[in-house]
Amino acid sequence: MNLMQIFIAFRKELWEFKKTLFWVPIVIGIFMITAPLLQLLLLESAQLRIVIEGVSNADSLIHINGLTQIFLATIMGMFAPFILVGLVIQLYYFTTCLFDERRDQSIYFWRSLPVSDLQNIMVKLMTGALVVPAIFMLAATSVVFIFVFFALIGSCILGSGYDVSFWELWRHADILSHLSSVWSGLFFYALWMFPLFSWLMLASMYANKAPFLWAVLPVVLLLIVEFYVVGYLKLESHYLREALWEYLALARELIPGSIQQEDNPNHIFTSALWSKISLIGTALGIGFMCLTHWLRVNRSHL
Amino acid sequence: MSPLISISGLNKFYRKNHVLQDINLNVEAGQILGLVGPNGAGKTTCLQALLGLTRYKGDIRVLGHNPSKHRTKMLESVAYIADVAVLPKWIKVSQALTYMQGVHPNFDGKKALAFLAKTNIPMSATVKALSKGMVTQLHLALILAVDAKVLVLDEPTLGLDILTRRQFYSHLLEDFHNDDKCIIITTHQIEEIEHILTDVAFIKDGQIVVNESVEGIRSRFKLLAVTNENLAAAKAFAPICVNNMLGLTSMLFDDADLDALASIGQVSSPSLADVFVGIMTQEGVK
Repeated sequence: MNLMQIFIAFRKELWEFKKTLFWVPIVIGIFMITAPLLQLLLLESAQLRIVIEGVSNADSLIHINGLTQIFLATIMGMFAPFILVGLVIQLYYFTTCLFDERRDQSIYFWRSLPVSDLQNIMVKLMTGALVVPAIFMLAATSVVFIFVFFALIGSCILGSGYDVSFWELWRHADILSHLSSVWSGLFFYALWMFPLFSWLMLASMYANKAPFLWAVLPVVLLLIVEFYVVGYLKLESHYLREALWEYLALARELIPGSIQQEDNPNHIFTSALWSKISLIGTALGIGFMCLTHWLRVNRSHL
Repeated sequence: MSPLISISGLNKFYRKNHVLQDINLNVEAGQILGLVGPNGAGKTTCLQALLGLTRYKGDIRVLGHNPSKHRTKMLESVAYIADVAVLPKWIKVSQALTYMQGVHPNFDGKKALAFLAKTNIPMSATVKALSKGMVTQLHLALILAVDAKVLVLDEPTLGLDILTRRQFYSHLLEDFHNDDKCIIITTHQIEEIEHILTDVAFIKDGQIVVNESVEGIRSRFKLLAVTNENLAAAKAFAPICVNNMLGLTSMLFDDADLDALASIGQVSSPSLADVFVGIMTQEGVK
């Protein structure tokens, strides 16, 4: 295995999607930072008084139950827009990554070089599944640190000028531990989404036109067929519909309201994502990837 | 000396269409083979099979490698330019160089830079911003910087103006070709590359109808210009192609008696284009 080749292959993917992967996280980040600041500036005097009162009673905040969980929920709330937009970019990436190079015929150039099809496909899978969300998570982490920085400055000013101490609150914040908990979920998130990602790659490789339709229509058709079959045979359940719903539904533990009820919030992310990973889904994903590779080797041109 | 490229019994079907029929070809070091045929004759399919880009039946060896099984290893010593502008539109010139440097063990970045320095292609430009001629020059710079034993060119100058086409072929001879390497090239503009070819294979309806050295073709085929009074006598020698123009008839002969032809008209060596047209317009060639 040539590590240099793999490294440059990842760089190539990032070059191709540079505008999206660079500017979108920056725009979200700027919005995330400026929106609360603007909100603060636009507060009316009565609302401002409530905020100041809340700040001056900061000492009492440490007596609130589940303070750690609140901090984790806040961090996850800051990550959420990045992860959601990142997911949209991921879906776009997987739908186009193999289709675009056939459409513009650059596949002839890539395949004229001594890079194996397997390596090419695996690099695209890793880029979409891990690198793209990591870029968005990095942007989210930066935003968290910017807020932490602002909060630190605020704490110093309030501590020295107004005798309001936030240091006890900082002790409970556990920010680094929460961040590492969210980051540790990345791998499990990729595993959860692996069947979906590989299905999109298969559609991207198979489609001669409109890969997104090729990704969606077969599933819709299957659901319609199942609907009629279940109705006709008077069966008790819609297996495919339920399986899809179960697969795509967000784990209950990841909903911010539920986090506060958890005893061990730092493991919540990994355990919730782990519960979404199934053997059948992973096997399906591997099957889709094998088909994608076969198509790439044997039917690359449009 | 074993050939660098060896193709035997190559067949290719697209559904029921038999697009390549029992192709046999050998290309040795030092040879520049022109694979010439009309549109749809199977040239590109043949080259794609050679590069392992499409499935096929038969046996192909390129530098001893089976292209369908050892494509990646084979491509370390084989360079290819396709018949369409295939460089991705989004890539920058500098990125293309970095990528080639990273993935190709036989790529010489300095050589590519030296080549690019002779052009007016800016390093920071994306392929999308370059003219068609510049894209071809960039692709050529990338390919010629690869220390390849085999160069496969599929209509490399299609759509380029005559100046760029000539520049392309002169670079090819100056910067790439030597006695250790071979080039296989398809083109429609056979008259432009006639002087650089050492061998020619004419392909018609998926079959190789002529496969000879250029010298061999020139001595095998003869062009006879006859006046109307000698027309019947000339036709007795069974020309493969007859062309009337301004009261003068020219005929192309395959392996005819040179002295007998000289007695009834003016004999000359045909160009490869003449032979190509003659063969493509006749029913069968021995």
